[in-house]
Amino acid sequence: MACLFLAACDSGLQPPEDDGTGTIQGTIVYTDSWPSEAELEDLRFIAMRFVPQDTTDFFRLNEMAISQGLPTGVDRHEFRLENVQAGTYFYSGVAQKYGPELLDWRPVGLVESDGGVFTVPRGGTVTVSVVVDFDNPPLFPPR
Amino acid sequence: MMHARCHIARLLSSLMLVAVLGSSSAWSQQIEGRVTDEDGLPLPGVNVLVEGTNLGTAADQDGRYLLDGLDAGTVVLRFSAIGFFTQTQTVRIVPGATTIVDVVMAFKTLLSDEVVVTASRREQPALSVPVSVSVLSAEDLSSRNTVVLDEALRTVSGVNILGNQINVRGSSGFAYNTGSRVLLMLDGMPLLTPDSDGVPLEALPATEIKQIEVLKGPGSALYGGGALGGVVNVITRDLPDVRQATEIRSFAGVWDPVRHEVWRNGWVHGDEYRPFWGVSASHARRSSPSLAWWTSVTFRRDAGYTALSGRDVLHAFGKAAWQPTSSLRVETLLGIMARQRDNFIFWESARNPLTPGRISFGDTPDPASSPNGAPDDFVRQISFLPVIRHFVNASFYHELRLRGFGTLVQPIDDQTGQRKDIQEGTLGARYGGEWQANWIPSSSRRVTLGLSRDALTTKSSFFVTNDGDRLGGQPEMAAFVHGEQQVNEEWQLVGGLRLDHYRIDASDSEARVSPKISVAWTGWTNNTLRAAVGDGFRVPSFAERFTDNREFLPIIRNLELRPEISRSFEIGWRGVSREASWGAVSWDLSLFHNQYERFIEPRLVPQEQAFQFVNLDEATIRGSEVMLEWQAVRGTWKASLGHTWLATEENDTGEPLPFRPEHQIVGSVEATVAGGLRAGADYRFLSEPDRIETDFARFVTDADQMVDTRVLDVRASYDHGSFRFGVLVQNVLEYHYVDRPAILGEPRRFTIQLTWKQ
Repeated sequence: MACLFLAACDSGLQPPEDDGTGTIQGTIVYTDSWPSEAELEDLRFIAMRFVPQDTTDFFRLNEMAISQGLPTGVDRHEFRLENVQAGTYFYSGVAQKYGPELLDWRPVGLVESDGGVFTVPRGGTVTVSVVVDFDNPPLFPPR
Repeated sequence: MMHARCHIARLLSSLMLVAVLGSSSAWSQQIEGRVTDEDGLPLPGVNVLVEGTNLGTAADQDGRYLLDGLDAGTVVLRFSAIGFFTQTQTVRIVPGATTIVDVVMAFKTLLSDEVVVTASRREQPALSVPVSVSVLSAEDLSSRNTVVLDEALRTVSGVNILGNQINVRGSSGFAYNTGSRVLLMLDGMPLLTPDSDGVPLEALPATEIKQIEVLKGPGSALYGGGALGGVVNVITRDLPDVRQATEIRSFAGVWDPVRHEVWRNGWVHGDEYRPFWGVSASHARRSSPSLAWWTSVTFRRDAGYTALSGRDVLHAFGKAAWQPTSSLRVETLLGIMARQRDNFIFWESARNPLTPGRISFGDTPDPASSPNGAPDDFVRQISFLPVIRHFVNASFYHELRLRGFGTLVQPIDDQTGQRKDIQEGTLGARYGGEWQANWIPSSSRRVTLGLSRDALTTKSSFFVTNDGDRLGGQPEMAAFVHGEQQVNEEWQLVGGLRLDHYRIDASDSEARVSPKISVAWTGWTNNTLRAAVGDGFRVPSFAERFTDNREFLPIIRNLELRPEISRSFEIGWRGVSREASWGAVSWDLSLFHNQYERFIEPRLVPQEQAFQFVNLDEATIRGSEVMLEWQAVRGTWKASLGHTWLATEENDTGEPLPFRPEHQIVGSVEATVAGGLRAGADYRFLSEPDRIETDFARFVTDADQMVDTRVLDVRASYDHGSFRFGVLVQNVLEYHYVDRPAILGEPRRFTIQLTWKQ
């Protein structure tokens, strides 16, 4: 038992060495017309650390970075998302909530450069750009 | 069966004693004296009995006793107390005089003296019961400054506490406090609330407890569905023999700031010592030979060691017994509790575990407006447990036990601090009762049988039911019979059968017969070999079936959830060594195997994007347990060690069941130094679970972080006259662990305790 007592001296759970966060900033350009207000319940920039296979993947909240609601009716918007978990993001873009149901979300524009994959460095910033065309949204789920 | 006779004889003696005391004014002789131990210290509570009569008393706090109203002549006095050899003294009583008889009692080890009631619903020596039972005494609780019972239960081999949920031998994992496989009872009465199936452990009167018995393994045959994994029976103290007794216990202490600066920096109070304190007062009185009662009030305030984890708890308990005739006894236990708390549910992250997390669910992805992991609430509970016991003759008595529980939970608005409307909380009642008959047809045979019924009614914003019953939801009915047969001097056979019928909702019900049979062999002196096989049955709790809420975690109801069933096997060997110069050793070795069908566990259901309690096909929990206890002669040194090994498996996937530690070790050592000074230490080890459910980590950062649990507590106390002063340092090595997913375990804390008794 003495060995066990001494074993307790390793202090157990430790905090992760750093907070492991960074910043995503970028520009969103809107082309063509905006949808009606009824079809625009919410609009967010969402970065995912995985490639979603269906809408149920929207619940992998801990593997996503989500912006505040984006302004509507504008041609262009600069955004900045701080304290984002550092690491590689595979599928990111602007998502539109088009109806009242929980899963009434769809992507309307994606980060395209480098195949849409980018990395948020610890303590650093990555810059991305998105072009949104409400009339020609990307396919979902992605092929 | 001899024990059964002793029990009845003792019971009848007590009854007759009351009658005798009530009519003793006709006699005039007295015997008085003082009982001390070999060190000259007074021994309170020693039973003093005039042999051949039903006249007796108990020594008071100073060890003094008085026997009044005796006839002149020669009598034999018998002095007995647990932990001491029984003594007899022949005394000649002079007419019209007071005779002084002082006695010095000799120590003996306690190991073979434990008496339990949970194994067979009656008193019997723990050594000979055919099931695994662990016992915590009032002294165990007092020396550890037990304020909340989970602190004490964590020192019991095979017992693990996750939140308010008691797990025995891995019976449950982490189930969000919604359903337990261990039945919590108070004085043999199930404590079942209308919502989550469990009275908070902090609502029980820790200062008024005589002992806690933990029955390991299925108890369904005796106690019904809730006892699938075991039973914890909290037994309140006896009503006083003495005229009155008062105790005031107070404690105060601080939580030590956590070791890591990063954690402290995450919370504005992270660098501070966080206080807690409490006081309890109790008074017991025998108002007349036929009426006795005790009452206790406790208030506790805890600032908490994390943000938003403080709580104020006020509870009051009272117990009364009235014995209008020698054949009738009425007992009532009444408890009320009011609690306001911040309910820390999950952390921000492993880097910031002192601050509750904040998560959002799909349609409200704005973190600033999302619920956080620390909802406040104000809870009031009431428990009412009357018992009417009728002694028909020496071989038959029966009792009616009623039970009623009420719960009111009001959430507190985080912004305004005001209680929200009851419509947004929970209001419920659970009520029922049972009739039990005890028949002793011969000295070698004993039969217990009974009927019970319970129902509940609950309105809650958390539960969505389709139950057609306006009153009496999820009613449960049961009939049980339990028989004990002493086959010969070496073999004892015990069998039980219980029929449970549950109406799950207005259109669905299920019935199940749970048999259990066990055999005990006592062919070696002070040794019992035992074997048991039995079935268990558990209906899902109201919360498991009907919780439907996305406010804090996405949980959806499951109306298809079915009762789970089990078949269990156990063999064991309990024994006590002969007393030697180095003292004595007791041991209890067990091997157990539990096979479950339709095992209920929480799972993330992807298509619903929420957690749900579901029936797994089959699951197995098997393992072993070794408990050793050593006590030196005169009890100056005591030590215990327990190891529980678990191997669990979800049979359809072959994976271990989540949140079950493979190894659990508990150990303690205690020394009593002359002059009333005692010191002790308790150690607890739980290995990191082999499997951690990672679905929770999808919503809460680092919720999959687990480590071993290794906690060492040290304590010391000093008795002087009516006072006891105690010091306690818990988690003295400042080991940080995870209490349950995304909740940091308790850091180091310091407590001082002062108790006054009269």
